[in-house]
Amino acid sequence: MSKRTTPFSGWLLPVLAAAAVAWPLAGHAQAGDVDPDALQMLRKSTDYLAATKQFSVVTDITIEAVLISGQKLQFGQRVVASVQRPNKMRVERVGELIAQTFYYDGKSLSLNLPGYKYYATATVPPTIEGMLDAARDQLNVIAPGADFIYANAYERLTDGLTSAYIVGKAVIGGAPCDHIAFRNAEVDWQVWIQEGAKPVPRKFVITSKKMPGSPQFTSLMSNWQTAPKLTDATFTFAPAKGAKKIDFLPVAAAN
Amino acid sequence: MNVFVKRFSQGACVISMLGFFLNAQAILLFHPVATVAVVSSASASANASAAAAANANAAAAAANAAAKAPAQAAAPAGPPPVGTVVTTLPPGCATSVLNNVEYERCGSTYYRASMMGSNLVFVVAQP
Repeated sequence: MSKRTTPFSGWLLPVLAAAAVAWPLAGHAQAGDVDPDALQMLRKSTDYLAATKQFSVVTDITIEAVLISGQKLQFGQRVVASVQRPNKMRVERVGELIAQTFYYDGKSLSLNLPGYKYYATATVPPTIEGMLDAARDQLNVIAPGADFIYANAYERLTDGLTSAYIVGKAVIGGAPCDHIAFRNAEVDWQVWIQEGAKPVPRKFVITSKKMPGSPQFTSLMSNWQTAPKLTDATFTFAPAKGAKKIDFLPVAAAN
Repeated sequence: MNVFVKRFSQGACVISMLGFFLNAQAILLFHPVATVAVVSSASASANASAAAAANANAAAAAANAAAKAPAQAAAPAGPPPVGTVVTTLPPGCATSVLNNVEYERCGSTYYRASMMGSNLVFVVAQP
């Protein structure tokens, strides 16, 4: 334990301790309860999204990586997703370490890397849910935030929960939201759901608590459109002239 | 992507994060200035499975072991063995087609572009 003190340590710790004691939910969370009201709040959001036949959303993602030195780095990406149930999806991703577009037209999944003039295509199942599972299991490709895209998102998210409770009211991206916190064996996660008739998630944080340094994945969602102009062309990949098709390495080779 | 070079040991292609899919798995990032090893990265899925976590632990162990080697060991003087996976090609490569298969030829080493999950990688090949 370092003896070095900072100007803050003198008062910050007592304040935090007082906050913990005064916060009635703290004991609740430690008890590992699953509050039915928290589940109901989540369900309202997942049911709303499952019933929304098409939507688009802009997501700003922050990914944390923990270096062997213990230093944490964050990498940002902007992800623009368009979904048309039951079988179409397009995701454009640009960021510090990535620039690619993902197309799913109901038959195949294509990843286009325009900066490299490469693309890869694989035949996948005919529904978004089947495609997401196949992409994960057979190609090791997972759509960030896909947790909320599955039609059975509620069942998937609540499987194995050990704790769920309502933290309180918050404002995310200017929108009043309910803040809910969850725990399962592998991760702790939080979601902020917009109040009102359009209960979309506005923020989603996952803490990988079993990983060294407990890195977090943070996703801020904005510009939810529930009647976007989407056409087949939105989801259909057409390789640029001169683009080269490459293969996905088998997942077996990746383990 | 060009700033970082992810390098994986032969036969232990640790797929990873920072791509479309960032499951909780480890990778190595070799920075031009300082060699840095990632021991863990955030999961993008709230229902990360136990299997994924176990895999991540194994990957983290591999990353730690590799990081103990001097930085120079990551860039041996000789040609890399067949199957070595890199995310950035060395300078001075040219496309070369042999038996209808396209390679990137860099000196005497041939690479095939492939997708490892959602990451573009180049695998050392023997045409």
